[in-house]
Amino acid sequence: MVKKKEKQDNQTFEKIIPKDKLDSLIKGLNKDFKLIVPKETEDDIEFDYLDSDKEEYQFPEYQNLRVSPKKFLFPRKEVLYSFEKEGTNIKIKEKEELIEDQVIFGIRSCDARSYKILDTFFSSGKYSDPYYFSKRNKTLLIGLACNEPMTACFCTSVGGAPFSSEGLDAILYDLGDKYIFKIISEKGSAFSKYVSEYPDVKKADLKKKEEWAKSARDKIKFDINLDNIEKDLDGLFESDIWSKVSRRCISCGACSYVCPTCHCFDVQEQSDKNGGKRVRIWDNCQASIFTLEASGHNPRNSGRERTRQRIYHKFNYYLKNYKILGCVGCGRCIKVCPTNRDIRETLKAVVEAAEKA
Amino acid sequence: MEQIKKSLNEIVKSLISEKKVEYVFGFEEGTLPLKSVPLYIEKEEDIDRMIWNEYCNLNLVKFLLEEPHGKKIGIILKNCEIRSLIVLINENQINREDIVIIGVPCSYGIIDFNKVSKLIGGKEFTEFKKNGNDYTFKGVDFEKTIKLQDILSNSCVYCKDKNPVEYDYLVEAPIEFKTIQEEDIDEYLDVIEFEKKKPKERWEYFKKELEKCTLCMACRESCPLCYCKVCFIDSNQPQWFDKTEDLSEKLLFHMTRAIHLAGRCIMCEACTRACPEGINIHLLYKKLRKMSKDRWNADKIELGDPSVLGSYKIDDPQEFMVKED
Repeated sequence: MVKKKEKQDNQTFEKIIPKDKLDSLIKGLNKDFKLIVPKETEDDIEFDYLDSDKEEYQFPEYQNLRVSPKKFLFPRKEVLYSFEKEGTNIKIKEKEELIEDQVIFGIRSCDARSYKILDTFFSSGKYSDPYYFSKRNKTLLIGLACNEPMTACFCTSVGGAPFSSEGLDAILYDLGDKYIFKIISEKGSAFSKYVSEYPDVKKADLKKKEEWAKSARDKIKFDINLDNIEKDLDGLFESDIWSKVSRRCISCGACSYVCPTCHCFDVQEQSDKNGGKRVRIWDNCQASIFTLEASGHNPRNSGRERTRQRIYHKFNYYLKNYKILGCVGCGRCIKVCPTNRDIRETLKAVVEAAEKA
Repeated sequence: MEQIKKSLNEIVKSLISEKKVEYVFGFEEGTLPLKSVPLYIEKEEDIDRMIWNEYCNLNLVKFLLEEPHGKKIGIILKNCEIRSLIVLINENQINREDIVIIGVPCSYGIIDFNKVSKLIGGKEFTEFKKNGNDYTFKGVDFEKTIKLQDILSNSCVYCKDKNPVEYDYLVEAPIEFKTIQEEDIDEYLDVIEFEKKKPKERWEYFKKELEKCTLCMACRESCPLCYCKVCFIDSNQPQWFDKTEDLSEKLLFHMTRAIHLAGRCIMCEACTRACPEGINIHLLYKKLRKMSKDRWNADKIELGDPSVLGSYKIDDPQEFMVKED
């Protein structure tokens, strides 16, 4: 009963934070958590660890970042264990990793949803992935609702929204002159002590928030109904749309490396005469070697099969296996593609082909 | 540009309507500003979608490698790209008679999207306007005017090799195009300047650039001269490369790619523009091109030229050999 009451409190825990107090909120959080925040670099904005000695933190002006914060929980290269030769014996050393409680601060709704997808994947089947969850379980997400979606954004077509709080522990809504800080999850109630001093949200603020939410939603120009996408794709495996779509693809892996939900990995060994380590690295399904079998046979030998795989994995197999879509509509793959192959166009082609079939 | 467009339209139209080719390869507008997409012009009505401008950023020759021999294909190319096609013809990868080359004199060159992104701090622009050589980019909270010179591909800034050397049809251009530089400068000036730096400085530069690499292979996949059926980097029996993103591995890949392109790379820089991280190591390739020029006068490759890597002469310059005292 007590638990239920707590949850109710969480749902209504909304505070107003003046913009000039963001830094003191960050400083407060930083006492107990390692913070990952959007940071300006020389010519870009990237998620990085907050340098706590630095004076004042302010959000850089950003819509969304070029690269998602996927790597903080699923690094590009991760040592799984190492081994050393001791005389004629081999000594295996387990991975030792000191993981502090951390917060990803300022994450957009789409990227927060991507962690839900990664959580589902890494906990599916018989085993849950200890390397991912050792970090995931110590990570909380504080979102920043998205007032200005970008030109390639299509989160609303894949079940998200610029103001969605799905997957977040707490969220900030930017009302122009101030933020609303809202606690979303049970874990997120840990944040209440850092914001308790601030005034409660007023009705007028909530109204303003709804207006921002609507205006953000309206800025997303692309809209497609993907309710039947699983079924649509079931009937299109041999369709000639894949030849057409893949015709412009050069089979690089840029899309999959910027994707916040792509999680395929490869395991490699790095060793020398005295020992070595087993590492996990990102892999990508657009590479010809991805499914190359030991016999020399490759079931996905051409761009057609590989392009199809990427779409099927996110929009068909994910629904079959986990009942969720594997795409959050962040649009990064569209922007990064050297040939401007646009996943929105592909989805349109799929839906149209299914209607005709 | 208008005259080029008109002339191009006429040529493409005649090729398609007279069925001289199965299709013509060109570009159409992309789905985002300043982006283009390869266009297969198969029917006359496709011509309306065709564009030709400073952001047709891919080297379309790459796509010809996918086509079977004997298929007649038209392709719209600038001179650097024509030279890359010549390399492929010289290396017996493509038959000259299969390809109808529509050569277009190149004006100032091609815009590198990565340079634009960097100059606007990684933000997104939603529209751009052109006023002479000034480009104004507008996003939700900014507007910035940038000179074309600062966003052109590196090699375009110095390129003087603007008129097609091999073609079946030549598009008429209103004037003779020059580089964007006001003074007449050496085509290899950037390499010459870079050579003056200390080895440590050069190493620091390349190290910093290569650290950004994610080994996504966009550079390799956009390069028409990277056509090995199995790239050494993908070979797993034997495995040359452990696929991790350690600097040693990135270096191994990029250095090997550069060596494989020595005397072949024609500096179209499709690779630099395709790079999602905006890595700028074109000087590595340009240095090798300069060496080809200095030693064998082989930087401007023409039909029938012997390849620098694939031929041998008794009087080849050999100053690179380590001599024993």
